Amino acid sequence: MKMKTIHLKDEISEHIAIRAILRETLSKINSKTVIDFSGVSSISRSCADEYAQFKEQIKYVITEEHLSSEVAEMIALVVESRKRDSPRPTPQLTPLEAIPSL
Amino acid sequence: MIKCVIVRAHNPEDQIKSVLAIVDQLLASEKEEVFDMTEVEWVTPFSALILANAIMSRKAKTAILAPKDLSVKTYLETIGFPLGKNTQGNTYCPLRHFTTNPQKAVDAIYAVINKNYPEEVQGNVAGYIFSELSDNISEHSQFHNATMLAQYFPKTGEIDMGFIDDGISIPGSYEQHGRDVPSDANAIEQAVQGISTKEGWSRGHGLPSCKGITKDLLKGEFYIISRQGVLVHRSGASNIYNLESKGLRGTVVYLRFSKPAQTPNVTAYLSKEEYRE
Repeated sequence: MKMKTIHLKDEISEHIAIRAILRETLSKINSKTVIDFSGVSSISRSCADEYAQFKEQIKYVITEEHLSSEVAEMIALVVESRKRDSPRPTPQLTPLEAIPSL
Repeated sequence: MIKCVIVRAHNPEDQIKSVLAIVDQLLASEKEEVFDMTEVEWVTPFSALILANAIMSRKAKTAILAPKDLSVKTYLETIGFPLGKNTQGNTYCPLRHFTTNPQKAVDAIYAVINKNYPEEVQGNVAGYIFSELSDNISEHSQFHNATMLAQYFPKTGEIDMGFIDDGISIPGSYEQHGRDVPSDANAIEQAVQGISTKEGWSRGHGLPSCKGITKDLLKGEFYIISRQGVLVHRSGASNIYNLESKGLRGTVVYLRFSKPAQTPNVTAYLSKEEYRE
Protein backbone atom coordinates (compact mmCIF):
# COMPACT_ATOMS: atom_id res chain seq x y z
CA MET A 1 0.00 0.00 0.00
CA LYS A 2 1.29 3.41 -0.95
CA MET A 3 2.21 5.57 2.06
CA LYS A 4 0.19 8.68 2.59
CA THR A 5 2.07 11.97 2.21
CA ILE A 6 1.23 15.22 3.97
CA HIS A 7 2.65 18.37 2.40
CA LEU A 8 2.91 20.73 5.35
CA LYS A 9 3.35 23.85 3.23
CA ASP A 10 0.09 23.15 1.41
CA GLU A 11 -1.73 22.11 4.57
CA ILE A 12 -0.47 24.94 6.77
CA SER A 13 2.06 27.45 5.48
CA GLU A 14 5.68 28.14 4.65
CA HIS A 15 5.98 29.19 8.30
CA ILE A 16 4.68 26.64 10.79
CA ALA A 17 3.85 28.94 13.67
CA ILE A 18 0.64 27.93 15.41
CA ARG A 19 0.46 24.77 17.54
CA ALA A 20 -3.29 24.38 17.21
CA ILE A 21 -3.13 24.25 13.42
CA LEU A 22 -0.25 21.78 13.36
CA ARG A 23 -2.00 19.66 16.02
CA GLU A 24 -5.14 19.52 13.91
CA THR A 25 -3.18 18.55 10.79
CA LEU A 26 -1.25 15.81 12.60
CA SER A 27 -4.37 14.48 14.32
CA LYS A 28 -5.69 13.30 10.96
CA ILE A 29 -2.84 10.79 10.59
CA ASN A 30 -4.07 7.22 10.98
CA SER A 31 -1.52 5.18 9.04
CA LYS A 32 2.14 5.12 7.99
CA THR A 33 2.79 8.61 6.67
CA VAL A 34 5.47 10.70 5.00
CA ILE A 35 5.57 14.28 6.19
CA ASP A 36 6.91 16.40 3.39
CA PHE A 37 8.51 19.64 4.57
CA SER A 38 9.18 20.98 1.03
CA GLY A 39 8.82 24.75 1.01
CA VAL A 40 8.61 25.02 4.80
CA SER A 41 11.24 27.55 5.72
CA SER A 42 10.56 27.95 9.43
CA ILE A 43 8.97 26.19 12.36
CA SER A 44 8.43 27.84 15.72
CA ARG A 45 9.86 26.22 18.84
CA SER A 46 6.32 25.58 20.03
CA CYS A 47 5.38 23.78 16.83
CA ALA A 48 8.64 21.82 16.86
CA ASP A 49 7.66 20.72 20.37
CA GLU A 50 4.19 19.74 19.18
CA TYR A 51 5.78 17.74 16.37
CA ALA A 52 8.27 16.01 18.70
CA GLN A 53 5.46 15.10 21.08
CA PHE A 54 3.40 13.74 18.19
CA LYS A 55 6.34 11.58 17.05
CA GLU A 56 6.80 10.22 20.59
CA GLN A 57 3.16 9.22 20.86
CA ILE A 58 2.14 8.08 17.40
CA LYS A 59 2.03 4.34 16.82
CA TYR A 60 2.50 4.55 13.05
CA VAL A 61 5.79 4.92 11.20
CA ILE A 62 6.33 8.57 10.33
CA THR A 63 9.12 9.69 8.05
CA GLU A 64 10.17 13.19 7.12
CA GLU A 65 11.26 14.45 3.73
CA HIS A 66 12.85 17.65 2.46
CA LEU A 67 13.59 19.26 5.81
CA SER A 68 15.48 22.53 5.49
CA SER A 69 18.49 22.90 7.79
CA GLU A 70 16.65 25.57 9.84
CA VAL A 71 13.62 23.36 10.42
CA ALA A 72 15.74 20.27 11.13
CA GLU A 73 17.82 22.26 13.65
CA MET A 74 14.76 23.52 15.48
CA ILE A 75 13.23 20.05 15.73
CA ALA A 76 16.55 18.55 16.88
CA LEU A 77 16.91 21.28 19.50
CA VAL A 78 13.48 20.54 20.90
CA VAL A 79 14.01 16.78 20.86
CA GLU A 80 17.19 17.26 22.93
CA SER A 81 15.39 19.63 25.29
CA ARG A 82 12.56 17.15 25.77
CA LYS A 83 15.06 14.40 26.57
CA ARG A 84 16.75 16.63 29.17
CA ASP A 85 13.52 17.76 30.80
CA SER A 86 11.68 14.49 30.57
CA PRO A 87 10.42 13.32 33.96
CA ARG A 88 12.45 10.26 34.97
CA PRO A 89 10.37 7.08 34.80
CA THR A 90 9.37 5.60 38.12
CA PRO A 91 11.45 2.42 38.69
CA GLN A 92 9.32 -0.69 38.30
CA LEU A 93 9.58 -2.89 41.40
CA THR A 94 9.92 -6.60 40.74
CA PRO A 95 8.55 -8.90 43.48
CA LEU A 96 11.38 -10.86 45.12
CA GLU A 97 9.83 -14.20 44.24
CA ALA A 98 9.89 -13.26 40.59
CA ILE A 99 13.68 -12.95 40.54
CA PRO A 100 14.98 -16.38 39.46
CA SER A 101 18.37 -16.21 41.26
CA LEU A 102 16.81 -15.84 44.70
CA MET B 1 -17.62 61.69 23.19
CA ILE B 2 -14.30 60.24 24.29
CA LYS B 3 -11.33 62.53 23.94
CA CYS B 4 -7.98 61.00 23.02
CA VAL B 5 -5.26 62.53 25.14
CA ILE B 6 -1.98 60.64 25.02
CA VAL B 7 1.20 61.65 26.82
CA ARG B 8 3.85 62.72 24.33
CA ALA B 9 6.61 60.18 24.88
CA HIS B 10 8.79 57.88 22.82
CA ASN B 11 9.12 55.42 25.67
CA PRO B 12 6.13 53.02 25.81
CA GLU B 13 6.22 52.84 29.62
CA ASP B 14 5.52 56.57 29.86
CA GLN B 15 2.39 56.15 27.76
CA ILE B 16 0.87 53.19 29.61
CA LYS B 17 -1.20 55.20 32.07
CA SER B 18 -2.71 57.65 29.57
CA VAL B 19 -3.40 54.99 26.93
CA LEU B 20 -5.05 52.62 29.43
CA ALA B 21 -7.23 55.44 30.73
CA ILE B 22 -8.60 55.92 27.20
CA VAL B 23 -9.05 52.17 26.73
CA ASP B 24 -11.01 52.06 29.95
CA GLN B 25 -13.39 54.75 28.68
CA LEU B 26 -13.76 53.06 25.29
CA LEU B 27 -14.61 49.69 26.79
CA ALA B 28 -16.78 51.01 29.62
CA SER B 29 -19.26 52.48 27.17
CA GLU B 30 -21.60 50.10 25.39
CA LYS B 31 -23.18 52.76 23.20
CA GLU B 32 -22.01 54.36 19.97
CA GLU B 33 -19.21 56.79 20.69
CA VAL B 34 -17.30 59.52 18.94
CA PHE B 35 -13.59 59.12 19.53
CA ASP B 36 -12.08 62.55 19.25
CA MET B 37 -8.47 62.42 18.06
CA THR B 38 -8.44 65.96 16.66
CA GLU B 39 -5.93 67.30 19.18
CA VAL B 40 -3.54 64.33 19.00
CA GLU B 41 -0.10 65.58 18.00
CA TRP B 42 1.93 62.50 18.80
CA VAL B 43 1.23 58.85 18.33
CA THR B 44 3.46 55.80 18.59
CA PRO B 45 2.95 52.24 17.28
CA PHE B 46 2.52 51.24 20.95
CA SER B 47 -0.42 53.56 21.59
CA ALA B 48 -1.94 52.94 18.13
CA LEU B 49 -1.83 49.16 18.72
CA ILE B 50 -3.60 49.31 22.08
CA LEU B 51 -6.22 51.84 20.98
CA ALA B 52 -6.98 49.98 17.74
CA ASN B 53 -7.52 46.74 19.64
CA ALA B 54 -9.83 48.47 22.11
CA ILE B 55 -11.88 50.04 19.31
CA MET B 56 -12.18 46.67 17.57
CA SER B 57 -13.19 45.00 20.85
CA ARG B 58 -16.03 47.46 21.49
CA LYS B 59 -19.55 46.16 21.17
CA ALA B 60 -20.86 49.39 19.64
CA LYS B 61 -19.75 51.53 16.72
CA THR B 62 -16.95 54.07 17.15
CA ALA B 63 -16.82 57.15 14.94
CA ILE B 64 -13.36 58.66 14.78
CA LEU B 65 -12.59 62.33 14.42
CA ALA B 66 -9.22 62.36 12.67
CA PRO B 67 -6.25 64.31 14.02
CA LYS B 68 -5.78 67.84 12.71
CA ASP B 69 -2.05 67.26 12.63
CA LEU B 70 -1.39 66.02 9.10
CA SER B 71 1.64 63.89 9.97
CA VAL B 72 -0.29 62.05 12.72
CA LYS B 73 -3.31 61.60 10.43
CA THR B 74 -1.09 60.25 7.63
CA TYR B 75 0.72 57.91 10.00
CA LEU B 76 -2.55 56.47 11.32
CA GLU B 77 -3.84 55.96 7.78
CA THR B 78 -0.56 54.30 6.80
CA ILE B 79 -0.76 51.69 9.53
CA GLY B 80 -4.48 51.12 8.93
CA PHE B 81 -5.76 52.60 12.19
CA PRO B 82 -8.07 51.34 13.57
CA LEU B 83 -9.51 48.68 11.22
CA GLY B 84 -6.19 47.25 10.03
CA LYS B 85 -5.30 46.62 6.42
CA ASN B 86 -3.95 43.92 4.19
CA THR B 87 -1.54 45.94 2.06
CA GLN B 88 2.04 46.13 3.24
CA GLY B 89 4.48 49.00 3.37
CA ASN B 90 8.23 48.85 2.97
CA THR B 91 9.07 49.41 6.59
CA TYR B 92 5.88 48.64 8.42
CA CYS B 93 3.52 45.75 8.87
CA PRO B 94 0.20 47.52 9.38
CA LEU B 95 -2.27 46.70 12.09
CA ARG B 96 -3.58 43.18 11.61
CA HIS B 97 -6.54 42.02 13.63
CA PHE B 98 -7.50 38.40 13.92
CA THR B 99 -10.40 36.70 15.57
CA THR B 100 -9.55 33.08 14.81
CA ASN B 101 -6.12 31.64 14.16
CA PRO B 102 -3.25 34.05 13.53
CA GLN B 103 -1.43 32.02 10.83
CA LYS B 104 -2.40 34.39 7.99
CA ALA B 105 -1.25 37.41 9.99
CA VAL B 106 2.04 35.67 10.76
CA ASP B 107 2.54 34.82 7.07
CA ALA B 108 1.91 38.42 6.04
CA ILE B 109 4.33 39.76 8.62
CA TYR B 110 7.02 37.24 7.61
CA ALA B 111 6.64 38.44 4.01
CA VAL B 112 7.34 42.06 4.93
CA ILE B 113 10.13 41.28 7.36
CA ASN B 114 11.94 38.95 4.97
CA LYS B 115 11.66 41.44 2.12
CA ASN B 116 12.19 44.84 3.64
CA TYR B 117 13.66 44.58 7.13
CA PRO B 118 17.39 44.60 7.87
CA GLU B 119 18.99 41.31 6.90
CA GLU B 120 20.21 40.88 10.47
CA VAL B 121 16.68 40.38 11.82
CA GLN B 122 15.13 38.43 8.97
CA GLY B 123 14.23 34.75 9.16
CA ASN B 124 14.74 33.25 12.53
CA VAL B 125 14.98 36.46 14.57
CA ALA B 126 11.87 38.61 14.07
CA GLY B 127 10.01 35.63 12.63
CA TYR B 128 10.68 33.54 15.72
CA ILE B 129 9.28 36.23 18.00
CA PHE B 130 6.18 36.71 15.83
CA SER B 131 5.55 32.98 15.66
CA GLU B 132 5.92 32.34 19.38
CA LEU B 133 3.96 35.35 20.60
CA SER B 134 1.09 34.83 18.19
CA ASP B 135 1.00 31.16 19.17
CA ASN B 136 0.84 32.24 22.82
CA ILE B 137 -2.26 34.28 22.07
CA SER B 138 -3.78 31.35 20.21
CA GLU B 139 -2.98 28.80 22.93
CA HIS B 140 -3.60 30.68 26.14
CA SER B 141 -5.60 33.88 25.85
CA GLN B 142 -9.12 32.81 24.80
CA PHE B 143 -9.23 36.06 22.84
CA HIS B 144 -12.06 37.50 20.78
CA ASN B 145 -9.90 40.04 19.02
CA ALA B 146 -6.14 40.20 18.81
CA THR B 147 -3.93 42.65 16.98
CA MET B 148 -0.30 42.80 15.92
CA LEU B 149 1.95 45.22 14.13
CA ALA B 150 5.62 45.81 13.38
CA GLN B 151 7.52 48.84 12.29
CA TYR B 152 11.09 49.46 11.23
CA PHE B 153 12.38 53.02 11.53
CA PRO B 154 15.26 53.22 9.00
CA LYS B 155 16.48 56.60 10.32
CA THR B 156 17.04 55.36 13.86
CA GLY B 157 17.50 51.68 13.03
CA GLU B 158 14.85 50.80 15.63
CA ILE B 159 12.31 48.03 15.22
CA ASP B 160 9.05 47.93 17.19
CA MET B 161 6.87 44.84 17.37
CA GLY B 162 3.61 44.61 19.28
CA PHE B 163 0.93 42.06 20.14
CA ILE B 164 -2.28 42.57 22.03
CA ASP B 165 -5.28 40.42 22.81
CA ASP B 166 -8.51 41.04 24.68
CA GLY B 167 -8.48 37.64 26.32
CA ILE B 168 -8.39 36.36 29.88
CA SER B 169 -4.89 37.80 30.62
CA ILE B 170 -1.90 36.00 32.14
CA PRO B 171 -3.17 36.19 35.76
CA GLY B 172 -6.63 35.19 34.55
CA SER B 173 -5.20 32.13 32.83
CA TYR B 174 -3.39 31.00 36.00
CA GLU B 175 -6.53 31.59 38.06
CA GLN B 176 -8.60 29.57 35.62
CA HIS B 177 -6.19 26.67 36.11
CA GLY B 178 -6.37 26.94 39.91
CA ARG B 179 -2.87 28.29 40.33
CA ASP B 180 -2.31 30.72 43.18
CA VAL B 181 -1.17 34.15 41.99
CA PRO B 182 -0.77 36.73 44.74
CA SER B 183 -0.79 39.61 42.25
CA ASP B 184 -0.98 40.31 38.51
CA ALA B 185 2.70 41.29 38.56
CA ASN B 186 3.55 37.95 40.15
CA ALA B 187 1.63 36.16 37.40
CA ILE B 188 3.78 37.88 34.77
CA GLU B 189 6.87 36.92 36.75
CA GLN B 190 5.76 33.28 36.70
CA ALA B 191 5.02 33.43 32.98
CA VAL B 192 8.47 34.76 32.07
CA GLN B 193 9.96 32.04 34.27
CA GLY B 194 8.25 29.51 32.02
CA ILE B 195 5.53 28.27 34.34
CA SER B 196 2.85 27.12 31.92
CA THR B 197 -0.81 26.40 32.49
CA LYS B 198 -0.66 23.70 29.84
CA GLU B 199 -0.03 20.08 30.68
CA GLY B 200 3.28 18.57 29.59
CA TRP B 201 6.77 19.06 30.91
CA SER B 202 8.11 20.78 27.81
CA ARG B 203 5.78 23.78 27.77
CA GLY B 204 6.41 27.35 28.84
CA HIS B 205 9.28 28.33 26.54
CA GLY B 206 7.52 30.93 24.35
CA LEU B 207 7.42 34.03 26.53
CA PRO B 208 10.75 33.42 28.33
CA SER B 209 12.59 32.77 25.05
CA CYS B 210 11.17 35.89 23.39
CA LYS B 211 12.12 37.99 26.39
CA GLY B 212 15.55 36.35 26.41
CA ILE B 213 16.21 36.96 22.72
CA THR B 214 15.17 40.60 23.05
CA LYS B 215 17.20 41.10 26.23
CA ASP B 216 20.31 38.99 25.61
CA LEU B 217 20.74 38.87 21.83
CA LEU B 218 19.15 42.12 20.67
CA LYS B 219 19.87 44.22 23.79
CA GLY B 220 16.39 45.63 23.39
CA GLU B 221 13.35 46.60 25.41
CA PHE B 222 10.56 44.22 26.37
CA TYR B 223 7.20 45.15 27.85
CA ILE B 224 4.27 43.10 29.10
CA ILE B 225 1.03 44.53 30.44
CA SER B 226 -1.51 42.00 31.60
CA ARG B 227 -4.43 43.19 33.67
CA GLN B 228 -2.74 45.35 36.33
CA GLY B 229 0.65 43.70 36.04
CA VAL B 230 3.47 45.37 34.14
CA LEU B 231 6.91 44.10 33.22
CA VAL B 232 9.43 46.51 31.76
CA HIS B 233 12.88 45.42 30.63
CA ARG B 234 14.93 48.38 29.49
CA SER B 235 18.57 49.44 29.69
CA GLY B 236 19.58 46.01 30.95
CA ALA B 237 17.25 45.99 33.97
CA SER B 238 13.84 44.45 34.57
CA ASN B 239 11.10 45.93 36.70
CA ILE B 240 7.81 44.21 37.52
CA TYR B 241 5.01 46.05 39.27
CA ASN B 242 1.26 46.48 39.60
CA LEU B 243 -0.58 49.46 38.20
CA GLU B 244 -2.75 51.38 40.61
CA SER B 245 -5.27 52.04 37.87
CA LYS B 246 -7.68 49.50 36.42
CA GLY B 247 -5.25 47.94 33.98
CA LEU B 248 -5.82 46.15 30.71
CA ARG B 249 -8.48 43.55 30.00
CA GLY B 250 -6.11 41.21 28.11
CA THR B 251 -2.39 41.23 27.48
CA VAL B 252 0.00 43.35 25.46
CA VAL B 253 3.55 42.28 24.66
CA TYR B 254 5.71 44.94 23.07
CA LEU B 255 9.33 44.88 21.94
CA ARG B 256 11.73 47.53 20.75
CA PHE B 257 15.27 46.87 19.62
CA SER B 258 17.90 48.37 17.36
CA LYS B 259 19.18 46.66 14.27
CA PRO B 260 21.94 44.35 15.55
CA ALA B 261 25.43 44.59 14.07
CA GLN B 262 25.23 40.98 12.96
CA THR B 263 22.60 38.28 12.74
CA PRO B 264 22.13 36.72 16.18
CA ASN B 265 22.27 32.94 16.32
CA VAL B 266 18.82 32.29 17.73
CA THR B 267 19.01 28.50 17.44
CA ALA B 268 22.27 28.33 19.41
CA TYR B 269 20.77 30.62 22.05
CA LEU B 270 17.60 28.52 22.32
CA SER B 271 19.55 25.30 22.66
CA LYS B 272 21.28 26.58 25.82
CA GLU B 273 17.95 27.51 27.41
CA GLU B 274 19.63 30.24 29.44
CA TYR B 275 16.49 32.31 29.03
CA ARG B 276 14.83 30.17 31.69
CA GLU B 277 15.23 32.18 34.85
